[in-house]
Amino acid sequence: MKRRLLLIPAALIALFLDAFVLPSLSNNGIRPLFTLCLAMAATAATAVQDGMLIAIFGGLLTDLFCNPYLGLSAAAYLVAVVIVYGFTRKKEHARGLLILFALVGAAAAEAIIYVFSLAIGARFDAHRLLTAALPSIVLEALLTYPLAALYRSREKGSSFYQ
Amino acid sequence: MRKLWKNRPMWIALIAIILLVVLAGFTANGSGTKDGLFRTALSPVAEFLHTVESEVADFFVRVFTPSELREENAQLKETVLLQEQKLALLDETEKENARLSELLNFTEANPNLRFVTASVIGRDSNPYIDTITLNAGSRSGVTEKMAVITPDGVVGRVSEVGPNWCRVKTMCDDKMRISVMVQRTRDEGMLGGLYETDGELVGTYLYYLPGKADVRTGDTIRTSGIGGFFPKGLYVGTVIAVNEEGKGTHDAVVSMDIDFLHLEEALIVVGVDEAIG
Repeated sequence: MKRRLLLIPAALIALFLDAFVLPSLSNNGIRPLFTLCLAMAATAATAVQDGMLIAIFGGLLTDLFCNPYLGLSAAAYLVAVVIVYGFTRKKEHARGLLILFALVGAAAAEAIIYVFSLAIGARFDAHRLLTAALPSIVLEALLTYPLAALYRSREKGSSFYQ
Repeated sequence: MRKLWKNRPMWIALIAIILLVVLAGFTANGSGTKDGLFRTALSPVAEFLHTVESEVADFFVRVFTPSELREENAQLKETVLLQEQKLALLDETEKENARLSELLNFTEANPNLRFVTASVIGRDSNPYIDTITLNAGSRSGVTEKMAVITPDGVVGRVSEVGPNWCRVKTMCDDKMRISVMVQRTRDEGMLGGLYETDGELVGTYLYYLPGKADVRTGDTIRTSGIGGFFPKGLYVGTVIAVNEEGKGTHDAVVSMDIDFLHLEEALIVVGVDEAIG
């Protein structure tokens, strides 16, 4: 339980980075979503419930602070959490595969946001997809692994790293 | 796969995803009033976090930027600020120069009048600006009841004088009256009172023209010199409406060209060598 409490400050720091710091530091639109990374890492390292909580509340707060559509980020993060959980729940995979699972999860989250944007009339921007979205997805996948490892070092009974 | 869907968290997640997408669609349609309320309630928190973010960003800038660069940046900022101030001053001086040139041209065109140029240093707060304060007073030879004019027309009359200031009752004062004439016909009358439409000052009334006076829209109105306060021939305004109904009321409405709200300089007529007109 104590370990789980660590998720609260971690989620708040991730939210702060996502909503306030990274937008001003992002290079060419490339910016990993720390809340998404944390949600996927928590899912892999502890339990899907933790990942879901971070995805829902972190996503909603991110939307409230800096996105026009309330709930979209939360839904996208939740999809990523479900995908990572689907891959990791049997705990039979090599640790390094988490990067691949996170890549799929982050890509699905990005796809949800992209499809939603197109549905409400945004223009398809292949250039942005290739130069900003894809590098961001890769960064998110790469960041998820150390976050999960960091959490694993503090959490016994991990569902992924047993 | 079946086991996965028997899993309760998965169902919860699925339902949550659907609900969240619906919520996003709801806010995308612009009908999320409660969403707006949430955002409004969170705006102080967002402001605070933005402040923290800029402090954090400044910290990193301080850490990663060499001190010479920081100093150079500070010097450049100071230089830019100074240049901006100079530009603003230059712009102001240019505008003042244009206004004063206009006044100078006017004084040169009226060699028989002696003027004191004064700047407006005070204005009544009411919308019609019925009193203004100028920065010239008795030390400059200004006395009460002197005429105050601009190239655009008569401003008013000095009502109070201090050593280095004077107050002027403008033509926007409802009780102000001056003797005028129609330039084309030389018919004399009295100008005063405020003509308003929808709460906006449009002009002043022209009274007491002779019975057979022929006044038309577009006629120029000048001071007649009667009464001695205003020298003869000063431009006052233009007739914009003629009262065709006849007796008992005004004869015409005269609009004034002066923008009393933005008046910055004026000429006080301190002496007349001979009449003009």
